Amino acid sequence: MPNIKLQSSDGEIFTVDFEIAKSSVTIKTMVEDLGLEDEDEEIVPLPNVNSAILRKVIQWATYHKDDPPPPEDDENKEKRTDDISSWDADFLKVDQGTLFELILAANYLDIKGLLDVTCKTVANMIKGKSPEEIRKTFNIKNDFTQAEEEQVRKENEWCEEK
Amino acid sequence: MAIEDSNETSNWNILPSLILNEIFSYLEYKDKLQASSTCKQWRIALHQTNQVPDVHFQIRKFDEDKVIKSNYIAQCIARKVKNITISFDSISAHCVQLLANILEELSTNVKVQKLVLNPSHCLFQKDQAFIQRHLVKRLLELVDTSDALETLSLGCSEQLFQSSVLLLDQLVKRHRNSLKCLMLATLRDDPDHYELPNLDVSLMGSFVNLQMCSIDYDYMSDKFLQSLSECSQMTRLVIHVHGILDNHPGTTEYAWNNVRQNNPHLKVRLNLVHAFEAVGMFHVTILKRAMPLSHLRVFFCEHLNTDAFNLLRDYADLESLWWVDSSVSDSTNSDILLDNYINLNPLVIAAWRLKKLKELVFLGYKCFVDDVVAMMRLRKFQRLELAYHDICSDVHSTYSMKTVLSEAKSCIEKGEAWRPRRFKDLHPVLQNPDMGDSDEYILPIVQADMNV
Repeated sequence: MPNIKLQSSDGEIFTVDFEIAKSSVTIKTMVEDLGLEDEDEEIVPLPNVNSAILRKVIQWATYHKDDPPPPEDDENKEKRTDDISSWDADFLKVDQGTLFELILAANYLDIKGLLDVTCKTVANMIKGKSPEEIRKTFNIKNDFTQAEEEQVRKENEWCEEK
Repeated sequence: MAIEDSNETSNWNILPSLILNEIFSYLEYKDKLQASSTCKQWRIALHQTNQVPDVHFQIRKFDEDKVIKSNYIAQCIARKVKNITISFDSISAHCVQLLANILEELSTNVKVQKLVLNPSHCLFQKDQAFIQRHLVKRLLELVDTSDALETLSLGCSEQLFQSSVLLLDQLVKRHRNSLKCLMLATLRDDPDHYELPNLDVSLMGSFVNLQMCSIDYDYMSDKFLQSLSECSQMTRLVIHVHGILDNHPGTTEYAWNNVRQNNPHLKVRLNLVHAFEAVGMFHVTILKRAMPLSHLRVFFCEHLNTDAFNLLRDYADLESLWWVDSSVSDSTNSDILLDNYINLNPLVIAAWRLKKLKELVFLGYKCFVDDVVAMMRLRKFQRLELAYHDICSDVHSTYSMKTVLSEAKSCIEKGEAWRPRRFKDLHPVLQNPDMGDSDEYILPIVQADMNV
């Protein structure tokens, strides 16, 4: 089964090398569980991913097809965010909406490498910013009431107290 | 970054919490706080992370904010925090109650590694029954629950120490391997009459990784030192001296040598507090040549023991020397002592001979200006505290206060401008023993003995 057909939420069909598509644990499991290995014409529907995002995901997976599997998370190891490759950095020079969709897709498709690098990118965009700047960057709506906001401010003070 | 697409498709507010936790795991706590101040969903993620900062409570007086804070900590942090320091106003019943609340929350936390209590006074504004039921009980639970306690300090509380027998038993049972620092020394409300729990201090040797401990001199003995010889990583032993019991066994040079052999990095800090009787003879009864003395602090003992001073020159490890009393306490007495100084001021000898001496605090006793200049020229200090009104001169004086001030720049290591302390800047209790509580002066200093 060299190729597999993936259908995006908006109906577009992508033909992908199964070896590449397997980097998605979700797709791999689906194919194996449904016994699609020998079916050439079967289409795997991905109702949570639109064609623009699926195209990007396939692009990413194709570039990274020979990567070793990402290491397991070690709770005690300090997590770095300065180790994003220049290819990935270029790849993720997208608007925050696309970045958001990519994270959701990486999460849904269970592609650890892509999820790691997108989360790192978001973390880098947060670092050193004030809450207001972060809201602006990601277009986050401030849904605190005034009283809640005051409480948050106080809690932060306590947590910073040494 | 340009925002091109419509915002309706991306709603970062409702990012699944698993992803948010993943993103937060890359952030330092400071950034996490900022990010979690943007919206409700992100706030929840803050409380789900396992990384919790070290917490230092400051319960200084009863106010609504502090109550909310302790509730907040209780809800969000108390079961996760690893290192916690609680400074509290122990003569306020409300503050002690708040302490009890926090301890209750902490008592179910398996992750606690360090609990440091820093009361403002050695006595609590609560009776012993309350302390037993609400503080000691929680402490025992906490010791039992914690997976690996490393540090426990009772903050010199005489009342908490009354339960030290139970605490030590529990610590030996649960934290034989993890405990590194145990501070049990006290300040005594009445230095002449106090109860001594029947504490088996030889259990200290059970803590194989013990590095620091503090204990009252009442419990010092060769047997205790022998148990410390079982340890090999001791770096600091802090001893508080109040009174010396008539039947105190004392310690021998042999026992000290033994401890040092097994703990080559051990240093001893000796704090005499209101030790009115002991101060006159501690150089004979307590000081041993083999004692690796690094700090000697004498607080409010109302006597300057010149014989002890003269012995200090032989303690090459001495880094810190404090002799502090209230200014008006027996000023005639200090004038007499001043006469002994004219030929050879032991402070000058100490500054000359003790190469490691970094701290000299000498308040409440007179000192000739020539001697001050000599000390300043002999040694660079990290901390030097003398008071203007204690520096005196007479017809024999070569120098004046002007010399002191002009040379002041070079006697402190960092080259900061040094000045003798002005009377009005001294702690109230140093100005007048009736004007303040000496606990307030002493406790922060001796509580810091556990800091690395």
